[in-house]
Amino acid sequence: LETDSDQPITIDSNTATYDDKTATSIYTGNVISIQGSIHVNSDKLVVYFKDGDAEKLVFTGNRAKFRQTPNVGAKDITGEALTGEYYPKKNLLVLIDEATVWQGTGAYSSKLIEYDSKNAVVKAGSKESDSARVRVVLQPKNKAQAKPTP
Amino acid sequence: MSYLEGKYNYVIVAVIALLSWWLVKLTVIDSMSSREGVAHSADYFSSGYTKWEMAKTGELKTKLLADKMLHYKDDGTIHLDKPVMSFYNAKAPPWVIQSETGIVSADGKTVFLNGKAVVDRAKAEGVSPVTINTSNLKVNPETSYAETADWAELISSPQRTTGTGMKLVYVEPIRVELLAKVRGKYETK
Repeated sequence: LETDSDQPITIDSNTATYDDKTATSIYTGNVISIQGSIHVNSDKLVVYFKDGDAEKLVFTGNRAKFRQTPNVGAKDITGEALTGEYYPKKNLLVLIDEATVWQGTGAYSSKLIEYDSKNAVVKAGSKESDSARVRVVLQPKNKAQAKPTP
Repeated sequence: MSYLEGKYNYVIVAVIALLSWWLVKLTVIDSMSSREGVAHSADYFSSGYTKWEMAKTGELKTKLLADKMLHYKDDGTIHLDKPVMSFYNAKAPPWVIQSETGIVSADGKTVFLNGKAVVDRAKAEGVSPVTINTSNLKVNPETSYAETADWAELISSPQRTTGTGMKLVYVEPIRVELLAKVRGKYETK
């Protein structure tokens, strides 16, 4: 939802370590992170602070999975990757390595996918490298079965 | 009859002897237990107690304040009321640990801070403020290490994280570990 970025981020996990020197908090073990309608499940989460703010959250897992409700009543957008980087201030979620996003009838797979969590816009692949090839699968409207959310 | 009377005297003497033996035994036990009671009492105490400890370089290393301090001769422990322990370092504000009561082990290596305990480090240039609310903290001043098995809450804006069980190293590199059932919360501006 558009208001997601104004919500606090809550994190549940088995253990956590706060490292003062590197200004990071590391959460490990069945990590569930929630901000508004954005849910992320991962094995590990590292929160990076800058000037007293959570600047970047890095999720890793096999795989890390996320879902968000773009707007009220709409179907959830879901995605997964080996690594996810979330920038709360930029409303940007970058999925890296074996990344896939399911949005409506489309599925986007690439090495790198950028997802704008404010406007629910998916941008797959990256200009720099060819290796970030993109495969898009758009189901024809009438034959589209309800894609089971992973 | 006189034969009986003679025997009778012996019985009385025996009863008296038995009674006095029992009384003696009683008084011995009494004094023993009272001496034991005295054994575990404070041999010296101080009110408004302050202790400074300097580093080899002459700088202040630790400071211990307490409303009351009692030293026990039999086990060498020091019992503290409302202890406030401050641990100083060169780069950042001191870590201040306080609790309701405390017991310092005889060798001084371990301090048991009982009841509600609060760990604080003030804000400073490039240093974020940290507050830890917990209870029943075991502190090892020599290794700047503290741990508890109880619930603990770490507050260091913008985060507030709770968990069950905590390990804290309050010297560089400073680390706080929460051991189970962790829940973190970050306010976003």
